[in-house]
Amino acid sequence: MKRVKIINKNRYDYTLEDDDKKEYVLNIEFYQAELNVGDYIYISDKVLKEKNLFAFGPLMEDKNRTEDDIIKVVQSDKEFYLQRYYG
Amino acid sequence: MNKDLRQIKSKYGEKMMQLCKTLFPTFLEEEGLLFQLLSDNFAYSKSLYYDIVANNMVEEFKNFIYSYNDVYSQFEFDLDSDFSFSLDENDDEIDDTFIFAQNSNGKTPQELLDEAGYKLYECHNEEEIQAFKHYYAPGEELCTFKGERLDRCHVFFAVKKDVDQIKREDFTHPQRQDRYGTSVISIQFLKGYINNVSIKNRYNHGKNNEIVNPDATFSNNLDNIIPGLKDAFCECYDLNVSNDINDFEIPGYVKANNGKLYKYNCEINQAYYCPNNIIIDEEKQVHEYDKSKYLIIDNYIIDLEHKTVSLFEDVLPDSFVDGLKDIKSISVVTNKKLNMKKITIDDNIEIIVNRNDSILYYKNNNIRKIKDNFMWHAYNLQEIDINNVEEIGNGFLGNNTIIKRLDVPRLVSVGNDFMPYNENLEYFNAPNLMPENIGYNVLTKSTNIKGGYAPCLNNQSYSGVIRR
Repeated sequence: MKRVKIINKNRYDYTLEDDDKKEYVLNIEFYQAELNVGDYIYISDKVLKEKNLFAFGPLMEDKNRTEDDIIKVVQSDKEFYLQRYYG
Repeated sequence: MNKDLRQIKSKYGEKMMQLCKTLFPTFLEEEGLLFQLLSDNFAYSKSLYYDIVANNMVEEFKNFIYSYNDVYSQFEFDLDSDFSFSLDENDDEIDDTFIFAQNSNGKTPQELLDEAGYKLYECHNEEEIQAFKHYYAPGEELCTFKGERLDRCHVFFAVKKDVDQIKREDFTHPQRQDRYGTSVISIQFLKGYINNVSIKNRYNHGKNNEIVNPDATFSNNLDNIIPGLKDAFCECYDLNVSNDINDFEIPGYVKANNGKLYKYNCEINQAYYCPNNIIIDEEKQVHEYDKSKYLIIDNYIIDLEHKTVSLFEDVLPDSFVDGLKDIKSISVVTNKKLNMKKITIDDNIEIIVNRNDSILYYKNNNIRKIKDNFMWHAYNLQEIDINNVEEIGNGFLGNNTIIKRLDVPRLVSVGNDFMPYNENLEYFNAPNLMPENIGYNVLTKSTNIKGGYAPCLNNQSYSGVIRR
């Protein structure tokens, strides 16, 4: 898992910066969650390098999800987990 | 025989040589080119051919290699000709006749997809998107159907003309590129300056998350569906699809930082444990261990010289290693006919591994107490013989799903997460294991136990789990 910070947000395009100042731009749709500039995300390195569209939403029960499917969001007042939704 | 073909046969096997001879005749005209392309992109492996065929990726493999060469645009290879790409090692040589055709220019996506057996639909509103939902099995619906996808993407669906004959229940071992998975695909382009494409699979992620990268069907390369499709979409819909060569992915393979794909047995904390004594760390750096001194089986490093067994990383301690201290002797015997190795440690521990050095069988009848996370990543372990074990800690065979039989007559206690994902256990004999001496998440998915005696399981006949 890598920690990245949201440094820019333009509709669904999120610019993320890791602790080494490397930037990634991911197109993400969040379900039932709102993320903003300044929030931190802990996310799989594999996902950061994947060229795709992404969607994340609340954790679902009874799913054999992998570690790569889970992200942790840390905001100023709370932290929570989301899982990747496919399709 | 052409020198390239000789080298390919030597490093990748006879079948791969035959496949390359068939698919890439023009590359063979330039000595060294084809072998260089293969060895730049794929670690040497006799399994590569079988994995490409088993995953229905011959077309993608062909396009991937051709993407390195302009010659490709002049020829089209017809995979529906008399070829049979087979997994049978005794097959006769592949018929090497094939059809050349001029690549078509100026055709629309609709026309090209029609040639590929699809009907293409563009969705202009939510109602048109929802009209495709009925093609997806319950639990496999795309999150596209949650709504508002048109805010961020141009959405198309391509539906096979014979879709009504392709039944979900006929596909009991889903694979991303199989006939069902590709029978209805959603092709979506990001709106904006760069229109990255995502090709969604009809299985989506699958009911048990068994489909890897379902949003990258055909490796998100439209030309893998039919050559020229990417340009057709770009021209017709004024799109700017990224020209990056898509990584060629094979399930069960990882790309190292040397650019090559390596088959791996297991991945732990982003380190990949591969056949042929190779471990790829989380930085994707390849570590190759001297075969005269080491043998790597699954995620265990056997030091033949110093007689030790260790882990590459101690992130998740595995008590398999704990039980192998003060080793006096290690012998390794290879059975070339069966493509297996038998490892004997101190005359009482036997381990059998397959051609990829993944553990199939483990025997140790001296062991009495097993601590936590024993063989947690032994995905391919088929049989285990630990008849005299009395206590087992947490996380026993945590990721194994295939063992069918476990006979532990002396076992009196187990911890948490005892074979929690195994669905295939048919025989479980633990007559001395009482309900009060087991943890939670024990045999959670083992609902098919028919034999043995285990009073720790409830009266509904081995319906597994017991949570405290």
